[in-house]
Amino acid sequence: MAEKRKKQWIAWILLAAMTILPAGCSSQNEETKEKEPLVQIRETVRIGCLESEEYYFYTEQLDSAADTLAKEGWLKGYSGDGEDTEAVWSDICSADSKEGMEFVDSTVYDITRMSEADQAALLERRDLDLLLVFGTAAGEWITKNSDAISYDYMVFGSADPVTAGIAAGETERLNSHAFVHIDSKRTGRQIDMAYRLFHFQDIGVVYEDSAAAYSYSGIRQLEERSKEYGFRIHTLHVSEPEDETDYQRYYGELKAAYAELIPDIDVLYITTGKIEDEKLPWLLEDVHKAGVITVAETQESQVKYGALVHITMSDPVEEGVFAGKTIMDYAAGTPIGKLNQVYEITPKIVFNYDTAKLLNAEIPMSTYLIADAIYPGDLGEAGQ
Amino acid sequence: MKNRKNRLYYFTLVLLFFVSVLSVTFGILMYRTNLLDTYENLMRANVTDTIQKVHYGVSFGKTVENYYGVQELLEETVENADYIENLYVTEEKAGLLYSTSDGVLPEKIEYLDNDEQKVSQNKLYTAFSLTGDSKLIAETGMETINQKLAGFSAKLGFVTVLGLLAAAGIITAVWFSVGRRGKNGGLALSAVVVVWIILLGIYVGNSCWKEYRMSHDMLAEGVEKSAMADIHKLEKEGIPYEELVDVEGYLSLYSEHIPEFKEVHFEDGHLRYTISSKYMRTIFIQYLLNTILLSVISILIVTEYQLLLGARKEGRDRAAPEWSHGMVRLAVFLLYACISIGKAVNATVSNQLALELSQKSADMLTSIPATTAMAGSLIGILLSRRMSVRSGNMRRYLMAVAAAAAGGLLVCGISGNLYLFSAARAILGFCEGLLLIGVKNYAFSFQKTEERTKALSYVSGGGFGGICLGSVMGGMLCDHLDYQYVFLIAAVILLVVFPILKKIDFQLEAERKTSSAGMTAVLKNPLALRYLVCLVLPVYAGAVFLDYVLPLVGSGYGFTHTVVSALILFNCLLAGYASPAMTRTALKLMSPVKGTICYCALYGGMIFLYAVTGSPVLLAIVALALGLCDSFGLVLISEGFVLTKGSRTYQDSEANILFTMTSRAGQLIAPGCIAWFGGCGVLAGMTAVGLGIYGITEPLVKKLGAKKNENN
Repeated sequence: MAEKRKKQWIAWILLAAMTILPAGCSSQNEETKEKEPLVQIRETVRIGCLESEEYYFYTEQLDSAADTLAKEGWLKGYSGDGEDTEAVWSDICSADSKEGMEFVDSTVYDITRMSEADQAALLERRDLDLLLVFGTAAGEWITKNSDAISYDYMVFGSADPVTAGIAAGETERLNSHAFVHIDSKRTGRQIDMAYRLFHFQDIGVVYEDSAAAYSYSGIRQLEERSKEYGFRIHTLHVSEPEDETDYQRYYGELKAAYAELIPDIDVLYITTGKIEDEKLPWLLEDVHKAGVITVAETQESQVKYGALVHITMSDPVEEGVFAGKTIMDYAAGTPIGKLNQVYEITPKIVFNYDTAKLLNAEIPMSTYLIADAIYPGDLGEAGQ
Repeated sequence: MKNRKNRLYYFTLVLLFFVSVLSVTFGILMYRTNLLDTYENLMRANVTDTIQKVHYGVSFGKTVENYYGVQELLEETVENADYIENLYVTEEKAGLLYSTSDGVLPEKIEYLDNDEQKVSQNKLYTAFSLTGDSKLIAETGMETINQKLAGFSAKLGFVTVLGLLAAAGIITAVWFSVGRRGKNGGLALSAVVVVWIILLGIYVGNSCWKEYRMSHDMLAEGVEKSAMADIHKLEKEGIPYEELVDVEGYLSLYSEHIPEFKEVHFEDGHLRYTISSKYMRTIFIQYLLNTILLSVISILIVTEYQLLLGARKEGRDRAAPEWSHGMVRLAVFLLYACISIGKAVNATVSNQLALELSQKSADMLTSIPATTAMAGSLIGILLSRRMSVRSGNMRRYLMAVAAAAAGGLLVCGISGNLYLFSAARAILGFCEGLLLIGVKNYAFSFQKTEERTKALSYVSGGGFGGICLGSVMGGMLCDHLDYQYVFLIAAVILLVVFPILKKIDFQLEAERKTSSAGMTAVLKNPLALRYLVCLVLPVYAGAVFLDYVLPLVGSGYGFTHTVVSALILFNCLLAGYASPAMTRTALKLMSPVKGTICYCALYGGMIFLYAVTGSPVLLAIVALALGLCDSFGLVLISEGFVLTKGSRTYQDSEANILFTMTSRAGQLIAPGCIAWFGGCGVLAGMTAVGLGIYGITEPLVKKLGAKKNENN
């Protein structure tokens, strides 16, 4: 009897084990951990600003960053009315920033207007914790002098920081103070798209003969694609205007350069953002008459004013949002070396249909359907 | 006497009602699935354009997570679509990325597979592949579908009632005029039932086909609306239609992704389309197959009923043993039908559960349930003797099997993970092992050879019929319901077995005479051992091609569960019905051993042929051809094994148990081998190696035999 009972117990235990064990092996959902809200734990972060030159892009980017801070409640009373970087900075400084974050008044610099003494003074400043740097030239300068500074810096608005020597790579840093916004695919995207649409054999590009211009004109990516796709690159150099009075010279030389390239090329890659949009139709009239396709590298407005196609390489508003969020992360305590540097701008594709008709460029219906904007171009009167 | 005769008439009416209800149920399920497929197609027509735009944009450098304008694109799509209420874009890691409504996508819908549909909270969700790990999920209301289904069900019900009354009237007329007096009264009535079922099946199949054909115009309307919306959009941007380039290329996207359309073009401002006749042929065959299988299920039931009547008639004036054949056969038929209900889908379900556990090790994990099933079968075979002795009675034996099978099916039905499913498959395998030996024990309880042979063929035929019914029913149900419901339905059907088992009263005798010493003696026979290892083990390993490789690989080729179960059915039918003629022919041409070698070579050769080509057509042909091989091979391989006994004194039943265990061992290792070697070619390899070793050892065996004769 006892033996029988023992067997029964064993049988029940085995049955229970067989039922519970497999049920326990059921897949379990991982509970997603909620991201804890950022809490400011750093001591007061004193912030300054340095730009490569006066350029609408840097102004809009800074404005967008301030806007992002304002939306998140880190900045109160920001009006967003500034016309240039200095005005925007002043606006930011006069707004109420969150406790522990201070935008230092009058700490806004344009490297083209700084003397050597001014540059040395900036490097020696010990009352800054973070310097926002806009543009390749300023980025190159601060990187070269990173040993001399006591503060961290963030570089935004550089088209190709790796080629420019500002960044080592997407995750590597050249020094312990550095953060550099990297979007390594932007220029390559444009060239790939242009080649896919037009299968050109010869591409022309005009840029300033400097390391910075080589970088932001995407010449490195163009050369890489040239090997891959087998097209030839024709280049000419024109110095960019130094000030307002230099524009006449600049446009004259640019138009002459385009005219020189026309006989040898299928596609003209417009790489400088210094061209005023209203001048573009005049600059491109001979190019379009010759049937050369024009691809705008820097901005959408160039398509509005006559270039055939553009795929977004940069967007100051979107980059500004990224900059704003990065500043908040830093101010909340994330070390500079741990901040994520990679952010890809949302690509947008824009065409000018009138230019397409003029050039007899056969863009398929499917391609027009994925365009984010199709402009009627205004080729208008020739500019001077 | 009159009452007893009229009982047949009443039973036939009950059977008529039962198979009609079964056919109507399947018919409604088929129609529902057909409707859902049609709406999937309509939604596909609405979203094809959107998906292609996203693909195109991604090819120019955009990403789904970071796609400028995709929200507007989705909203435009919903606005222009007649069959979509909302659209969602999900990504495997990031979850929901975009949505056209502020509503929340139900969590289980986020994890739909590509082209998978699910109904939730009265909404139909269909997932379409977008790019990489992202999906586009379309949502539509179920109101129209439910209305159509209700309409069809009412119509079908009305037609069925009318048809039932007509069929009952014909049955009554036939019975009371000639059936009651004639010898073949039951057969005549069954014929009426079969004809009625076939006509009902044709009605259901035809309704589904008509619904599908009507949907082509709706598809074209959807495509036209999308295309016109795109053209108008470009016209607003300043590009008139006449100046658009490569409109044909744009339209070809629709014909490439909607298989019904061979070509679409614009004519006089309207969309014109050409239907792909090749695709329509494929779809027609699928509908035809569904219709045929719908009838086959009922015909199998009617056949069993006829055989039961036949057994009762024969046994009426004889002693008890023949009387029990009918009930035992019916019980075995139902048990096998329920146990085999997952035959067409076990492998795909295992694969699905394995992928949920681990993508990397999915192949190896998929083989676990098949392996545990064979392990269970082996244990069942080993314990069958003890169980026979303990139960002593066929009723108690089968009751134990039925109870265990019900448990196994219930666990399959509630299992949501691979481990529980494997445990359930082990239980069902255990039941299958017990049944296999139980049937033989039943036959071996008869003393006279003639009675034994009759009992074996009668009862094992029920098992064969049950496997056919189970595979077909399971395959068809799984095309319309989740697999869990199918197993639960089988568990419920199994309850019918218990009242049948109560009528069985038969003492089991044979197993008392077997012993482990006898089985050891079999293993000590080098001829038998060589035969088992070199021929039996590899060829039965190859047998998993049908219920493991075919469903897994077939689903990759787009075979539905119905198609897979149809192939299994035709394989079994060939193996069963061609067997007498093929076996006779084979034995005329060669000895059982040579025939077995030929069988093994053919079996391995055909699997090798498929393994090398990987063609879906060849997969189907090989599945059927293996049935033809089995039609003579299964008998010859058993006979060949019996001949290895020679003058030794062990029992045939002991040898039979070892034969069965070896065959199970082959089927146990096969899935693991396939997973390890990454393909079914290993099965052909095992057969080739087995044949090779058998051939190489032949001189040695002859030498040993000659030496033994000398000593004697």
